[in-house]
Amino acid sequence: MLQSLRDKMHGWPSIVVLGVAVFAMSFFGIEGYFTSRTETFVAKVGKQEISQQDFQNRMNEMRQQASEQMGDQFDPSVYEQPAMKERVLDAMVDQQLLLKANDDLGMRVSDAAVRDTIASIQAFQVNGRFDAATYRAVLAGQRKTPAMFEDEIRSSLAIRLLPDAISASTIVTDEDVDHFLKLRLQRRDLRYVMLARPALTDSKITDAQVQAYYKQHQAEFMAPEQVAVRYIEVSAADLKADNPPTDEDLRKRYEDEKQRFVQPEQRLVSHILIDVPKNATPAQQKAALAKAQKIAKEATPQNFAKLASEDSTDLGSKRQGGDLGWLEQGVTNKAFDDALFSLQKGQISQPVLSDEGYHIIWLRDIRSGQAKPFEQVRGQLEEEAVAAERDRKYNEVAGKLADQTYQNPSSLEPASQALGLPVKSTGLFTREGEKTGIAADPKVAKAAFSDDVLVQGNNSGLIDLGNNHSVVIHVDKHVPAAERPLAEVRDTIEKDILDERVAAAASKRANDLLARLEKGESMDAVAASAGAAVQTAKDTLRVQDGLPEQLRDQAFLLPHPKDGKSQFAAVALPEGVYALVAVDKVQDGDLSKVTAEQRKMLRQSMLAAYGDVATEGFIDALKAKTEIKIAKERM
Amino acid sequence: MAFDAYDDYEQGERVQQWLRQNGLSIVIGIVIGLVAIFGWQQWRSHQATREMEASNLYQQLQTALAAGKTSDAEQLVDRLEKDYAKSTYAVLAASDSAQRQVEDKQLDKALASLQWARDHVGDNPLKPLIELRTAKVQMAADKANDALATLDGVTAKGYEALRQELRGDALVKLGRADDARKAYRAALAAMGEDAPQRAALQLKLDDLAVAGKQGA
Repeated sequence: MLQSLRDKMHGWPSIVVLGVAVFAMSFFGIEGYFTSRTETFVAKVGKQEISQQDFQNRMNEMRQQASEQMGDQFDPSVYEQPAMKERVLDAMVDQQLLLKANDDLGMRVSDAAVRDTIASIQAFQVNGRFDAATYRAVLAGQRKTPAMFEDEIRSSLAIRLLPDAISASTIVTDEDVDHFLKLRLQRRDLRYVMLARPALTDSKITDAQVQAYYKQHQAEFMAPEQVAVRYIEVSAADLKADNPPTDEDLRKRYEDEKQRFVQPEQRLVSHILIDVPKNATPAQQKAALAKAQKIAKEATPQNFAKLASEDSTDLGSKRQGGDLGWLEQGVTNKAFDDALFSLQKGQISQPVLSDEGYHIIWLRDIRSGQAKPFEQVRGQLEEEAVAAERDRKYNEVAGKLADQTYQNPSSLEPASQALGLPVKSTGLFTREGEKTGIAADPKVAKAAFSDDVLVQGNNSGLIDLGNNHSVVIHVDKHVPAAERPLAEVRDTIEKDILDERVAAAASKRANDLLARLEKGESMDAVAASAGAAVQTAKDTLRVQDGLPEQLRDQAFLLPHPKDGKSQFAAVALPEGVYALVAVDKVQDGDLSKVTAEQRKMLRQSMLAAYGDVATEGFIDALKAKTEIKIAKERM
Repeated sequence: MAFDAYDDYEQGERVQQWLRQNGLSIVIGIVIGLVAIFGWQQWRSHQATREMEASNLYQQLQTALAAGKTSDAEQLVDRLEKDYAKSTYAVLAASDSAQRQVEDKQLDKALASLQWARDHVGDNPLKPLIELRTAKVQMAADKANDALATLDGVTAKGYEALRQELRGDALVKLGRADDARKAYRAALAAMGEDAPQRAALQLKLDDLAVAGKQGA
């Protein structure tokens, strides 16, 4: 054939055709050599990439969670900080490492674990027990099939698989428990001397000293920056609805939204599912259908529950004899829905094919729908209509306010005149805001000190204070941060200087006395020379009342006494007071006083703590074996 | 091309001749390829099934342990160790057993369980963990020197905090306070800032204070 082709190809047309073909074939795909692939991952763990998209999604999730938990306290800027981003990414890298380790070590999430987890989720429970109907309804609300949801649960469990297994097999020996208790309940015999605050010997302060102190501690003597603002506020509570809704309006509303007041028909249903895998072969599908048909033939209202618990592959309803509870139209998928709502009461269907597989459906009972009459819901409708009208009005006025103040950024007056809203004003407040009034909202203080409003002198944007209440502010007065004049703070400075002198004297005396103790002088003699008495505290514990906290803590940081020689320390207490302390004897904690119950609890918390350290160690070990690339610039 | 020198008939002949010579090897090659692909898939799915079975057994074991059914638990551990000896789950189950044996004060049995785990764990990041657990039980059995040897034999990366704390404990037992202090410090340095174990570790370190350098 090639021969005949060549025989017939002559002259310039064939050369042109051939030329085009050769050109196309030689250069096709060559652009791949010139354009380099652009990397888009934020992190790469082994061969697995964490894309920018994944990372952003996780950040958004965390942001949303935090905002739900903290409400008004939520500060979104936290999530813009590099340190936060790094923490989130680190956690994602750890998860990726753990998933990879699952593969490498042959760890899998068992079906039982998935089932138990789903059954324990409260949203799917009625009266503390898993309820299949609720499960389906909740999932349908989220537009998920049970299979999708099971996969989600499976992958969330996969991340915990190794950490849980490591924690669960952690070993804590009796010796560990004893060792900790001996230290934790350690008893020390102490002697101590409380040294009184020394008298002031030199109370003369020169102007030069005050001046020098003032210069040195400038930052402490600053008055903070303050502003006062004028503002226009709009609040739904102050707005009057123009005209109350007429009976006719309400009736129209009732007609429009009639289905809200109708209790829809509900059907009590059980089913048996014979699942067909997504990528099933025709043979598999046929087998499933045959099985489903056989069950459908056998099924009677009497043996349905038994058949369901034996043959159904729907983990959710299997144990309840296939019970799905009362369903409304549109809750399940279409095929199921159509079949269910064409059945007669008490009838059992032929196999119905849906995304999940073949269903055999038994319609057990029907609750027919009912509508509430207009008179019964009139009050509710009226309330809604008024609220909707007020919201509409608020949005309209707030929108106009935002518009007007934006068009005339240098003043609030035009907006005030156009909308008939008064301009109000606040007193001076700092960046921390005020206790009452609009400046109590941190958003107002933030806006007032923003570059646009404070420096440029513009109106702020519309600041939403919540509950259909918002303001626009304009800076009225600005008092910059300033050093407070020396005369104003002179008294404070003089007091500070005298306090410092006393503290220095007290510290010097305590250290001198400590040196004498360490040379071997008796504590009684040292105490007497300072005009104080020695106090003793035998069997002191780490946590014990009756002793100053700092003294007790310091006593437990001292070395054990050696060869009968006590250990000494000088301790600074609050208010510039000092104490001397001696440790004479150290004994292990008395284990006989620890009850079995306490030991058990301690062991539990030690298991958790060591499990934590071991899991960290495991992740470190994975990191050492895996190449991890982080692209900070793409975070 | 030399091939063109023949007419259609001769070309056909030559092709047939070539096929006669090489046909068998081609067919064998294709068959080997198909068998390899099919076998690989079979092996993978077999492997996945085995992993799933082991996972289910392990899950049952955890449930049995949580319910305090010790004899059921022991049977499950036996099954895992016998039928799924190469599975990570068997290693974890053996370490689970060791934990219970330690609580029942049967340190020898615990050491045997851990030895089984060590023999079957393979070269993966769980291996050092099993070795560290062995060292801990050795220490409880008053074999501080053995424990130290075991600990110094762990060279794989990771677990620094755990390893150094155990070394510190062993060194304290052997009366080598200075070395113990160094080990505890290394453990603290390797541990996360908010690890719950930190306070206990600091306690151990503080208790080894010497004059002049109090505390850490």
